[in-house]
Amino acid sequence: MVNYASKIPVLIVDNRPENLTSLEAILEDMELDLVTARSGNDALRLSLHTDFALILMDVMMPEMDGYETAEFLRKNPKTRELPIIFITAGSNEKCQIFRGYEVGAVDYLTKPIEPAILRSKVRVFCDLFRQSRELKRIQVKLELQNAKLLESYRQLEEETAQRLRMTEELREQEQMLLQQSRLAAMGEMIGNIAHQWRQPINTLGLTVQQLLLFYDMGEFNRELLEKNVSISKDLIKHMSTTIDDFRNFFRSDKEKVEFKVTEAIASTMSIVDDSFKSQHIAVEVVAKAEPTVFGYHNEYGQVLLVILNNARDAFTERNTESPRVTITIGAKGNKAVVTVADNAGGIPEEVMDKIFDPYFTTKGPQQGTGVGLFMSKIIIEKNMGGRLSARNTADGAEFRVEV
Amino acid sequence: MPPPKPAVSMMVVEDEAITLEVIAVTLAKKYPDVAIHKAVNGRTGLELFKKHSPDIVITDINMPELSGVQMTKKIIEIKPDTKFIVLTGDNGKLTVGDSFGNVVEIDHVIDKPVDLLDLFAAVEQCLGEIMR
Repeated sequence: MVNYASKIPVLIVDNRPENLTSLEAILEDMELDLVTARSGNDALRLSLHTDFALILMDVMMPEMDGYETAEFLRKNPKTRELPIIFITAGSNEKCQIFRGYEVGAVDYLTKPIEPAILRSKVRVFCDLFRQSRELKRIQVKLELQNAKLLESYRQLEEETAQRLRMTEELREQEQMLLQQSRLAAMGEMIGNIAHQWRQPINTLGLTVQQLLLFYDMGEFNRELLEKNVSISKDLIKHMSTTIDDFRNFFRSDKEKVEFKVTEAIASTMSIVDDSFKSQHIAVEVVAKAEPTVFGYHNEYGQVLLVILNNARDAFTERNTESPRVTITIGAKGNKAVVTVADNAGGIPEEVMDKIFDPYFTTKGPQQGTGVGLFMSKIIIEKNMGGRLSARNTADGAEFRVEV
Repeated sequence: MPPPKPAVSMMVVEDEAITLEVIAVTLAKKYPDVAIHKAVNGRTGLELFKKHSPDIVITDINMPELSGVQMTKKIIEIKPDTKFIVLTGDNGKLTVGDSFGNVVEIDHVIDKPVDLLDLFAAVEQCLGEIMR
């Protein structure tokens, strides 16, 4: 392996051993790994094994001279870039020198060699070699890092794709839940209408039957007819208003508007009024302030409806003695705060943190869809940037709506 | 001459004013020999029962201040052979069965909206049994 501190390999080629020795002597203490070759062939063989920083080559060699050797070195891609310094004893004839440079020599030295000059030139190429080695090392390191980065990038891409998929799935689920909650709300609405209409229908039926019965008994007169017609008209009007109230109440909001909280509560109360009365649930509205809300008017009312209906169901389930609901309207800073407190006994501690979960219900499958409070939380917190919370009081539960 | 039979009386307990009125007035016209008492909730119904001891009690289930169920249970304790006709708006017979359990025997259950002819049939059946 490449070691920055290891010795630099340099090849000396000369057919005369005494020349080799003298060169070795000159380059003795330069931290070089000096390798010698006695012929061009040896030099070629050795250079294929070792990556030399420099070749100091004698020109005059039998069999294959320095120039030929250099040509071979140039031809082989592995040794093409190898720096060659020719050492020549001959004359400095220009044609010789040109030949040398033609075959790729980087320098020429003539004998006798001036040691200081040789050392200086060798040092240059050693430094170059050292730097080149260092560069190669850094390059390898960079390539590894690059590979790692690419891998991380690919993983991130996968993760992102997965996350996008999950987000899409979640959005689909939320759409489904929204749809379910709408259906559930419609179901509740029909249930509420049934409640509202039960008594009026009964009364209307009796009023009408009485007319025929009294006629058959000979007791029929205009006064009775007038009275019963008047009663019937009132009842019919009441039932018709119920439909209008419901239709308006459950129409979906197109946009945010500014509305008074007291008004929203009043419109919700008109929806549950009869069913609350029929179950003798007392409702008290305490207005400590007259705040307004900028938001979805009908959805806000629907949240109140969910809370009130839940209270009514709790009263029914637990057979509460004197059921009562207290709605308090107040303000906290610029937020409207509405609390709905009942005396139905409270929410059991073990389910307290689940009541806003989707599909969670304590009622049987016929009654509870588990969607009401979940969607209420989304409406208040996500759509209107408010807060919906619940806690237990001394005798029941208290829901708090802050918008 | 045999002593005159004590007059039969009925009590109607219903918290919706118009309904109470129509039922009471109609029954009074249909059965002129029967005394009709009216109460607007379970509590006054019980008081009225203690005072007049009616033979037939026609009652709504869902009322404030002592529900129809509770009132009925208390009346049974006082006079077990009282006849009961129950008027109900929720799911009819099933609810009544569960509300009363096995403690009280209901003679008739009538679903709302009340058909007066059904009510008359129930009353006449009760009267028939009482007269015997």
